[in-house]
Amino acid sequence: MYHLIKKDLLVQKRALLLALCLLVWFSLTFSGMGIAGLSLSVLAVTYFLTFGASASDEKNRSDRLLISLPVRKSLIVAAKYVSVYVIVALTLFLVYFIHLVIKFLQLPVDVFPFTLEGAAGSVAASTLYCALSFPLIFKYGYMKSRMVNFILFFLTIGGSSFFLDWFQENAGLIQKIKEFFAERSDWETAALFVTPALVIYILSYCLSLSFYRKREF
Amino acid sequence: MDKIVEITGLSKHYKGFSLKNISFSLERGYIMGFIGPNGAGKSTTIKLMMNLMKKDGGQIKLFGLDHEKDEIAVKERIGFVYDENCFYDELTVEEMKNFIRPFYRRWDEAAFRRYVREFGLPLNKQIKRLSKGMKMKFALAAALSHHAELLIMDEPTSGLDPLVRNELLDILRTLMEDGDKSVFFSTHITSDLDKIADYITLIHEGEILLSTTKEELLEEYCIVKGGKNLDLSACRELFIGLEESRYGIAGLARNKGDVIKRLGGSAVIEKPTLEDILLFFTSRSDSHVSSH
Repeated sequence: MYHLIKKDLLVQKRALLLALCLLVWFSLTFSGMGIAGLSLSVLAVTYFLTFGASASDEKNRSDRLLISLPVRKSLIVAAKYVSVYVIVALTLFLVYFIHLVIKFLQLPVDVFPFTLEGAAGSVAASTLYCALSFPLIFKYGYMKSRMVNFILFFLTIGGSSFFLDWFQENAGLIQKIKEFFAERSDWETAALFVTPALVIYILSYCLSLSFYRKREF
Repeated sequence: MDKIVEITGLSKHYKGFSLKNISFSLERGYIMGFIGPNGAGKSTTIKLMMNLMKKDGGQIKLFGLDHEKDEIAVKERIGFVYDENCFYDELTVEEMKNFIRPFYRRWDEAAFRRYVREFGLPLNKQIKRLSKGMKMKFALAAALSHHAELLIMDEPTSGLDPLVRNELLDILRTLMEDGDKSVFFSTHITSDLDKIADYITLIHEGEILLSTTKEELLEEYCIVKGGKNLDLSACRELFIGLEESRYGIAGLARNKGDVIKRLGGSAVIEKPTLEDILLFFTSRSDSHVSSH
């Protein structure tokens, strides 16, 4: 799996540089969005890099290579799902690095805060988005599913903003949720967030694998 | 004998094309030329063998193992060269090799380095900057560096200049010297197979028309040529195809011995090329004959 993930990054050496530039730009332009700025930046770059790798597979017709190698299809699909978290981690590291540089150089610019909540939001948004879009890619390929995935991307962003606004308008509900989680231990809170995300992700993986096993090249 | 490839009753149907219960086999140590016109079913057969497509029926056994149940064990022992590049354009030759290597337990880095030297492959050049011939050589180096016992090649010479094609044939000839490897070589450029093939399997419109040794094929069939008034009534049923032109008659016939006996000295009998066999078998209604 390591080699499949490493390949996804290697084929995008230039895109990684572009991703760094994008993150600098997002850090400055999304500064007014608070922690949502971090989640949105990471989601956008994850979208860019994850689908960049799929685009490269399709452009090079490399599925023929991957399937001809002695490697199980389940591993090829699993590597794509795991690579999302590698890319999210890498992106978070880059954002943190950009913030450190800005702080170190004492540049007179505002950036969104780098918080644990923002990072968790990045992971959640990327998980949800990739869980929705990967089955389409494994069934139809990157090019054919590109438009639908593009729409899904904006729906994920729009949906996240809608929920953030909705929560802000319903302060009472937020208070109740806060109280609910305050009564739980850290482990319980984490489990309540991670379990549904994991279930969605695993279901998405099973669907993708089923599509990929039936796909013909 | 040790059968490396054994295909029985293989079928696949999709819109506009059907592979109809095809069967053939290849023994260890031989090169099989898989010939047929474009769209005959050559690539479909190879895709089915490599699990790039799902078969509708039949059985594919490679090294005596089922190609689906024992997929990983089978693919460890196969080297593949496809008609089009399937490597990542963005990677260098070295990076691409580093990606492929970990998947093969029997990868031999020294062998790869040797092939790189022999083929003159530039390790630090991106795949997209390689010529078509170089890409094919890289595919071949990768296929040979894990000691593949069966090389599956889908139109490897298409689009290559005669010099590179000849080089590939030389490589294959050298490769076959140890008698342990087998090559399944699909092509519509039959002159390549005239030089190296031991077996010929001819496919047309999804059906296997013949599968036999090249020697038998060239001994069994003959090209018959004669003037416009050549009387073929004594052996017309032996003809696979006939072409009439303003200069005379030419055709491909089976049972060479019979044809000679029946026509006597009234016709010129010549040894056919694989191209003649391919053309006459696949275009019976409006037959052609190659220039001799």
